[in-house]
Amino acid sequence: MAEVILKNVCKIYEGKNKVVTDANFTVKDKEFVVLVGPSGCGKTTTLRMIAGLEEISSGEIFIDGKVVNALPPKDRDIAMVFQNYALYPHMTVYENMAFGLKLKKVDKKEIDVRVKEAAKILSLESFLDRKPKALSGGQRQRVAVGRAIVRKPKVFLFDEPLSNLDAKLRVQMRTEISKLHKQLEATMIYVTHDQTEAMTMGNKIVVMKDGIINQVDTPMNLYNNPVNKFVAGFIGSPAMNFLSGKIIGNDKLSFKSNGGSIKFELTANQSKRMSKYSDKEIIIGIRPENISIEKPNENSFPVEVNIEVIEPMGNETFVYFQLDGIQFISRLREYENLFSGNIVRLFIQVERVYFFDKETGDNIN
Amino acid sequence: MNFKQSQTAAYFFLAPALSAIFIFFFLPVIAAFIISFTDFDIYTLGNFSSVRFIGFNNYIKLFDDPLFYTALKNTFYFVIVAAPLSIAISLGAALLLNSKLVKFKAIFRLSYFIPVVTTLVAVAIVWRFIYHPKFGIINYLLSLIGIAPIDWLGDTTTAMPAIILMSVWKSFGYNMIIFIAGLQNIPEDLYEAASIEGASGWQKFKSITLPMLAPTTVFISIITMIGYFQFFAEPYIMTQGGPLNSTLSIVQYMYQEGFKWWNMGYSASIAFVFFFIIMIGTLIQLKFQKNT
Repeated sequence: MAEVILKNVCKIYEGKNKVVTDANFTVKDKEFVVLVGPSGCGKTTTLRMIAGLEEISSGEIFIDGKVVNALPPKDRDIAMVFQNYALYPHMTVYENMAFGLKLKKVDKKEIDVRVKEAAKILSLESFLDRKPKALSGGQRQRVAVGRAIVRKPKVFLFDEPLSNLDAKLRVQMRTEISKLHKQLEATMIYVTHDQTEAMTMGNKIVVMKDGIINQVDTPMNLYNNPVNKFVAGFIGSPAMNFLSGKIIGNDKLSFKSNGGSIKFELTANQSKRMSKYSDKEIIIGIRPENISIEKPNENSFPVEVNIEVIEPMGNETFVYFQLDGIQFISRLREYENLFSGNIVRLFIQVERVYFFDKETGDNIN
Repeated sequence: MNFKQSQTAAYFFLAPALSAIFIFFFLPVIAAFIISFTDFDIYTLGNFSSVRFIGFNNYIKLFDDPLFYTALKNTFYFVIVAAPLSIAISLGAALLLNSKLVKFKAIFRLSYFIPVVTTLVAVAIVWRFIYHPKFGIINYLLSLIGIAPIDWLGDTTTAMPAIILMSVWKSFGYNMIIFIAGLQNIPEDLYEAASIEGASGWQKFKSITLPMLAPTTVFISIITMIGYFQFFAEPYIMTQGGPLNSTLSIVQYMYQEGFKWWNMGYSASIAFVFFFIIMIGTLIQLKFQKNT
């Protein structure tokens, strides 16, 4: 197994379209790193550059300490699982898994051992004679993973492998891949646009937007300390609520939203941080789970809201309302007696409010 | 509406199309089949009552006719050489035009396809000039390297290869377009997966392109085989079946018997024997397709 390092990696198409800009991150040995971002953010391109399927415009990629920029995919000792599985339709499951080993001229007995071992890990033993078209989506996905496992590569690459599966199967495969990571103790790089997948699977997450890496961090750090408004909005489901307003006062600072529906005093700690922003426009961010119907502590302020939509999930309830004409969502614990049209008082915890620079979108710490 | 009524309605709507097919397809085929058991000839055209049913006599005569066997042999020669050649060339051209290395693809695609849409008669006349022993460009080019002129269409050994070359040139563009469509249907990620697994260009071709193209190839083989079995205009225009019947094809022989000597009954029997030969060829290929 091996370490993967990207140093100032760029991808420019036709000399002008910059798809990936200065990508820098390290995937440590045995680590599970997830590249996440909205579609078109360059995450798949980054993965394909690591695989060698796309040329690198500038920068360096190291796998196991060696620069691999000029190496063809087959010499990088990697395996990749594709979004559409990329199984050879005319070959059986067994042949699909054995294909790479046959090309490497591995001994037939050894191929048999490895394929059967992988089939056992992935519960594919009874499907080895079938062709891909006779398999369900989840089984095909497992074959694609099996094809990667048998080759015992240094690095596993996954390109949105679960996006073609239905919701239930996706959750199941998510855990299976995580288990597999522990079992194989392999270095894995995983691309997804689904933040839940990223949060649940990765040891480390690389958040990308418009070809630029915004933050590389552990899932909890991304959630608690997002570097900017984009990361704050992208990580967490339902997404963070944002509202524009102004910091007012000199010593003891307060925030007042532009529409006037929110006004609260900052904590001493926050006042210190925000002193530079006195009389300036900023954006605040409030996570849906930090809005509650019961007053959580003294340091929280109330807002009167007119409930527009209620989404009961069983264990929790999503409540939609508007503040300053902007859609807000709160996540409440099991409230059965709320209905749309109700006017209720909700509480927001002051110390859980995030502040973002209006110009740069940076989290003000 | 019950099932029977809806079935009647369905036939009612199908009637115009079915009657056209019946009148213009089944009726002539049935008529020809009946004629093949008669001595229908030029006298019959004058006096229809002179036609006589002669049972299998036409068929019996056919299997004793040396010219029929010559035509059959020539036709098989043509199909067995020209069809694989055409398929190989069209696949090669399709692979080239589908590769990322080639530029101006549209121009190449167009120029390879032009012969397909050109009238066969015009093409055959032009090629007759190309093959001309005195003024043809081929002999001129050969003369530059000191090779004596060859009478391409006048020699029994070169006439058929010359016709094959022209036919392949004329028709490969059609198969090429179908192959290109087949190639474009192969998902790119299969090649990418194979690259990662260490496959060379040849291994990718052998393990991905060829098997993925199998249905296309079988389809092309069948239509090419059927088309080539029926070759007629090429020898008719270029050699009239000569020299010494070395390019006489079955269809041409059928045409000669039917419209030169007016032996319609005999000609119809050739058509039906030929129909069975093509059908067997097609069945063999379909069987092959099922196995792939």
